[in-house]
Amino acid sequence: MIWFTWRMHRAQVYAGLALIALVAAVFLPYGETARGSFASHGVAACLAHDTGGDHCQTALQAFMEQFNGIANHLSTWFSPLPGLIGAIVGAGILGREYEQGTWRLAWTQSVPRTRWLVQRIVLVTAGITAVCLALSLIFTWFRAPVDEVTGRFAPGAFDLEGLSLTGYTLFAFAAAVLAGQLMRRTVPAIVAAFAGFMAVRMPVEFWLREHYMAPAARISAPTLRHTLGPSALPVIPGRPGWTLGFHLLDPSGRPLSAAAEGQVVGRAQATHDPDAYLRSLGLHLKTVYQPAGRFWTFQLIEFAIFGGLALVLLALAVHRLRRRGV
Amino acid sequence: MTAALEAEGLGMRFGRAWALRECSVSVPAGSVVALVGPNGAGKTTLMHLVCGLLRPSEGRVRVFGGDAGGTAEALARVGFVAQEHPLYRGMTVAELLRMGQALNPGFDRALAELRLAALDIPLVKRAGALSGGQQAQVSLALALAKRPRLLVLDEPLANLDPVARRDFSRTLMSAVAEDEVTVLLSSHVIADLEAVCDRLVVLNRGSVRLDGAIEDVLAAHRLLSGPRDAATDVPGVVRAVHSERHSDLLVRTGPEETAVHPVWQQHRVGLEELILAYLESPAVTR
Repeated sequence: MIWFTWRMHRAQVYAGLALIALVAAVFLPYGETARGSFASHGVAACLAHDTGGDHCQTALQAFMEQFNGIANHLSTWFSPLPGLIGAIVGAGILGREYEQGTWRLAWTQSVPRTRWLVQRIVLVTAGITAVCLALSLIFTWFRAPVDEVTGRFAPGAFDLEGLSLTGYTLFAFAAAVLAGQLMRRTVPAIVAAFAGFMAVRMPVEFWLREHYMAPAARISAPTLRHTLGPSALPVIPGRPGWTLGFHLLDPSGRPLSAAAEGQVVGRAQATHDPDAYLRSLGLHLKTVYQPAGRFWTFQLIEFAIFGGLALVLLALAVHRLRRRGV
Repeated sequence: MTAALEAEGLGMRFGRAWALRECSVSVPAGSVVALVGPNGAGKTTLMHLVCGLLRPSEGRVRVFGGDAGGTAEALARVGFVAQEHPLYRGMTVAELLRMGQALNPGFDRALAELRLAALDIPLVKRAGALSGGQQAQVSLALALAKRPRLLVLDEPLANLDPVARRDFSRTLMSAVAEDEVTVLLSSHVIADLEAVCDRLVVLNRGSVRLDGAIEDVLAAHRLLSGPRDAATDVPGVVRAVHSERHSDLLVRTGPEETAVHPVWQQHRVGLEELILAYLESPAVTR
């Protein structure tokens, strides 16, 4: 089965290696440049001591303007990629056998079809995992300076680093194996698996992920100099986590209503020094966030979700094949 | 002696429709069996059940005493050439043989190479670039190299030109002679079968209409022609064609020569005519 699986997937292995080589050729030199800029702008010192000062904000801004664009493009280009890779590899396993009629050849050799499928899935899963982890390593290295500033929870970081990329690809792969079995065609199975992949992947990123753990909160002096989003600059020292929201609290610690907050902010913006105005009212700022230290916990949860779904779909495909076969 | 193939009350249902029902067939070892029937008769379903590609909805099918399919041992006993002889088109012939070696414990690669060399089929060519006849030969070589005890061929001669048909039949016959393999082969072209096969199973609409050695079957049927008035008195009629005064009957007489009323003229029946009669007639008691 090892030789057979290698023969069936060797073109895909070569394509995977070519992709790794391409990504390395593009992003390793670019990461080198980012490191140079990181040093020359003195970003490290700013992050370690005081990010709030004007000098440091300017330095951070200059650095991020140079690299944040490409770092975010990276996430735009590469977020559908695991879905496509997984779907193309997975749809071939059963979809192509049915489409070309070769299942009748494959499953009348002396390897029972359940073993045939399980061994093929295991070997291909190992290959996908190796390729995805290699890609994740390159992305992580490239993004490291940018991650120092914006944290590893930014979409371009979280979706490409650690285990998440591998989890996504395996999920799309499993969906395509099952789709190929149900549809008996390669291209429709790729389309269906990719659609299914996006239908799970997007809600997880934009809705579910922030609920993996109860967020932490931090009370600090009020300021309007805060922004949300992937390119937000940190206002306090330390590796940034994932900021979910800011709320103004009254002197007794209760959050202001949305209407009251809007009025206060409006009046503050009219003054010469908005932060001093907020302080004079005795307000506090509550930051709700996922701490940077939770990165690996979140990665494991994300991987468990997609890897678990993949396992369920693959088990279903194997069960269906065992039950009747065709 | 154990039968090469034994089906008992075999049935296969797809959704609500039965593709095969109450099928009981016994094939003695060493015979070459023709499985005949129109499209949709259940031939392919029966063959897939024998190869273990399908699990029966009811009944059972045994190959040399063991359940068909499922285990590696059961799969190794049967060699199968599916309809349209599918091959991995991107693989070269040599790679297909290597695949056979990788997936079958007793695979005789040298034998397969020898047979393909005798047919001038180049090992370095991709399967997709071979002619239909060559693809059929490669499929047969792969199936035979498994050293199966039962060889199952689903419409092996369909889509082949006359020369390729002749070559394929020759390869098959020499393999049968050399390897003492039992063969089950299906076709709807009856003329192909007479030279190759010694047994016959006629299948129509999912059930067995006729099963026996071709010689015995032919000996047990007669064509009678005579006056229409007398036709109702003749027992064992398989098919009757009546004109105004005259009737032509195909009659199952049994193995012994039976006395028929002298108004009837008796003729021996040809295989093709016999098979057609069984396929045309509504369910006849066997």
